[in-house]
Amino acid sequence: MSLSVFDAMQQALKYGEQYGADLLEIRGDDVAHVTISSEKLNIKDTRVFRRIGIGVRAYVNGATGYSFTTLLSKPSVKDVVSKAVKSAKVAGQYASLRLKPAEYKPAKAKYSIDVKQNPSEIDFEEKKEMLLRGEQAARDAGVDVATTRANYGEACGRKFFTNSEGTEISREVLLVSIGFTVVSRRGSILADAHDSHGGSFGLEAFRDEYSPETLGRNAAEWAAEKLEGKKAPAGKFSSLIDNVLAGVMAHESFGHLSEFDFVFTGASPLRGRLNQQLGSEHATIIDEGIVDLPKYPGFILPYDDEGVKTKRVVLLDQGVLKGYLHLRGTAGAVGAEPTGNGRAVDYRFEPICRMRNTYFDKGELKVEEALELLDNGIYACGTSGGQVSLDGTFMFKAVRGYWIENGEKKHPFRDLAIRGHILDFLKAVQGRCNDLKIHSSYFGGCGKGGQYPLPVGLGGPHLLLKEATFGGEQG
Amino acid sequence: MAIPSLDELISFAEKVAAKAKAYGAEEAESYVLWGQSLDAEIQGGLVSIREGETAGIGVRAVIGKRVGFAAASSIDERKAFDAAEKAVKVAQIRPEDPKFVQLPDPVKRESRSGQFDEKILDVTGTDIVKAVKNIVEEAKEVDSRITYVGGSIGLVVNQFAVANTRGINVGDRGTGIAGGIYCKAKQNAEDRTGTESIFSRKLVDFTGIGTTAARRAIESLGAKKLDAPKTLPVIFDSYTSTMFLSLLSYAVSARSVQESRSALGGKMGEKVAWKNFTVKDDSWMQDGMRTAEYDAEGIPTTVKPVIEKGVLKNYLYDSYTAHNEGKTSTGNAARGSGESYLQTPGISPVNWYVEPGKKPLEDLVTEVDEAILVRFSLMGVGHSNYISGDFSVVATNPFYIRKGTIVYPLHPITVAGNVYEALTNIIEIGSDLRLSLTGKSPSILISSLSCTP
Repeated sequence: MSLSVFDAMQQALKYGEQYGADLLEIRGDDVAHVTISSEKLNIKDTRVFRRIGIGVRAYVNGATGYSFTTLLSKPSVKDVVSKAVKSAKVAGQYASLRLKPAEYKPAKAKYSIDVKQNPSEIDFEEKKEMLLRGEQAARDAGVDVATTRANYGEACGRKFFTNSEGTEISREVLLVSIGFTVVSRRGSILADAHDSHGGSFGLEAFRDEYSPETLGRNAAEWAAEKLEGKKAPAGKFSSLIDNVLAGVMAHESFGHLSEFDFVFTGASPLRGRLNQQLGSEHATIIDEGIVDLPKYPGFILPYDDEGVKTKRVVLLDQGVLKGYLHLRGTAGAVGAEPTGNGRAVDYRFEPICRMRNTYFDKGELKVEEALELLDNGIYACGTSGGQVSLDGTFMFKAVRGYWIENGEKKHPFRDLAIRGHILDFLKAVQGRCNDLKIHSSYFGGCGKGGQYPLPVGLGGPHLLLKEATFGGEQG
Repeated sequence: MAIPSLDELISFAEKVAAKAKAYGAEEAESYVLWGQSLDAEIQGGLVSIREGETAGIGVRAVIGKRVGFAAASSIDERKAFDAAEKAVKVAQIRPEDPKFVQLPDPVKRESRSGQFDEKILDVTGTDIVKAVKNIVEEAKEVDSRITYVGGSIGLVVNQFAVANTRGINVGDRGTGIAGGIYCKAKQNAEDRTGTESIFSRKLVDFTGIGTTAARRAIESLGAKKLDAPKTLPVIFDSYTSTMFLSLLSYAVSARSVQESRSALGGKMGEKVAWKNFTVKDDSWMQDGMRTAEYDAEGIPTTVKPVIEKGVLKNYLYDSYTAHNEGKTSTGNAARGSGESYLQTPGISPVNWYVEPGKKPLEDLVTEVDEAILVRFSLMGVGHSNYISGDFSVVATNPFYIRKGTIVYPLHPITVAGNVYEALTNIIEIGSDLRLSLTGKSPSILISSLSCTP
């Protein structure tokens, strides 16, 4: 006999009372996904799936045990609760560092996201048309187009949280994005470019600068440009980076190091550096659950997966380290306020310390002014991602770039790799523009501890850097 | 919980495929996964244990040239039938895919399963947390300059079944265990990392990997800066050489080739690598982490050379791409790891196997005058340009070689080049095969790559 997610969670709490955990948390997911992809104007892959399951976390003596199941029958729920508590008891015997869930006032809340065209209520036909319209625009605008691809993805549903303290949260999950890729080919040169838009909004967001046609055309024009692009130079250059690249720098290179599990355990170089000047006065980095930018809301997260209301955290304030991102358990252990950064990708995993929407805050400069200030250097845009090591070393790929001379675009580059140490990077920020944008995407997301893809928002304004290291191929 | 038998899973898959047909599909396929996992992790003293079951079903329903896919994270019959019904609905409304021919017919040919270790079923949370504690403690004891140690061990038992209305009804099962450790060492202002990991289908003793990882972090201390950007020979050790395989996987996928996204498109039978470079897709590797008798569409897997003595010999096919060329699938349909039932089949090698050379890594070092040895890990491989093959990766633990000797560790450097040029510029291949998640590969020496401090 299969229970509803809600009933299964109530049942789990009831069983939990007998097993003797210090704190028991139950999470439930019911989220439906739709993805559509097309290639060369043919719809290729269309899939829908629904992820339903529950996960149980038990705290015993500062250590945690976690168990999960998709099978929502009474015996299965009972088994999961007993496994979580048993594991926590074992883990408690081996811990030398302990979590302590911070005190908080149990809340009962239901959160919904208000949009005009909720993707879950819109016909397949309309979503398909968006892809084909954008792809057609890309093909019309492109040069030597070898192939075009388009992707649509949505996640709509609810996540539930309850714990043995009486907290009960139900929050809506909403994420939608579209993206277009164009590959141009001339002889042996293959050049690809991509543009996309996504976030917690309805389909009404895909218009004007984010209409499928505009996104498709951008990808086509950038791919055409890259056909003429030179190989990336290597060495140190002054540079300007765009919103997207600024966003991944804020998230990947700095944000992860501010996650307090890394700080608590000694893995992060930011340990013990609170109130120190780590960056220039232009470097302000914020992480928050709900961003007040209607056009670019990123991913809306009102409560985290530990039932904590998400707080705005100023991580870096004009270069000074002001905060860390906490789990409830690390906040309690060091006497800090919980920030609402305990997140799990789905019911199969326990919450770990994660970001929400992470961005460099904006300044006053216009992009044209920043280009003038740059004078000679590299303008790097977009990214296919990157990686950071816990020692602070990072590398990111910018997917396009331009050589700037006397404040003007001279010639494009093909792919660029930008690398360095995050603390050097933060010191090198010498100007910030006024064009703050935050993006999120259904495709991809953040990965940590085997949990991928977690939806996050990231962004920033254009940032001017005194010096950045580019590690391309020479010659 | 009781573990469902493979036969039960297969008949369940058949039942759901038949149900999709009853809902209106002309043909249908269902893929069922049931998996059990247990992990323990120690992060600098924090301990957590996680245990659970992952199960679900993915259904493909076909109407003419329209294929719908729907999945559910459950093997509850009602939810599975819901998924079957949704798959049919998606097929009814989506446009035709002119390249789709049909779901695969059963293929009869020899194939093999990988190792299955019954003993893994008896491992408890206490067993693995003790094993993690052991490797973490041994790492800490190596040197007082070790400032952080994180370790984890996880095991899985997986069973999958595929059935379609053309008569395929097969499945396989496997066990796996993996352990990894990550250490940081600090000396003055210098922070270095050291890692080690082991993958196995059978229970294995992880003792020693903590010591190894910690020593690697310590050996990387006292690093100097590469004095200037240089074009140098580069030795990739058996850990970092997997980078080439990751890019190659993309290029030899028949889908990349058919969609003009592969730099190896149209090069069948041509020389694409060094004359002694041979790599095969060894789907039957007994200890290979992805070995299975059948692929994700229920086609028997095969062993075949992909590049033999430098010559391109085979692309990898699933049934979709094979039917497009009037061929039979090579058994390379894959749905990824984890919640595989949520994915439609794509193409992937099962286990890469790079033919090893005769010399150990130390001998490769003695053969170069000035060179770089990149060890243990690379950052940014996934961000290479898979279409053109251009890569620019950060080597976290590089070493400087002068006159055939490793003289000192270097600060991280960027190594950049093009993977297809690099494959033709191989000078030597080591004898030190190492098993990773993607197969087995040895050290590889490339004649020249751009290295930037």
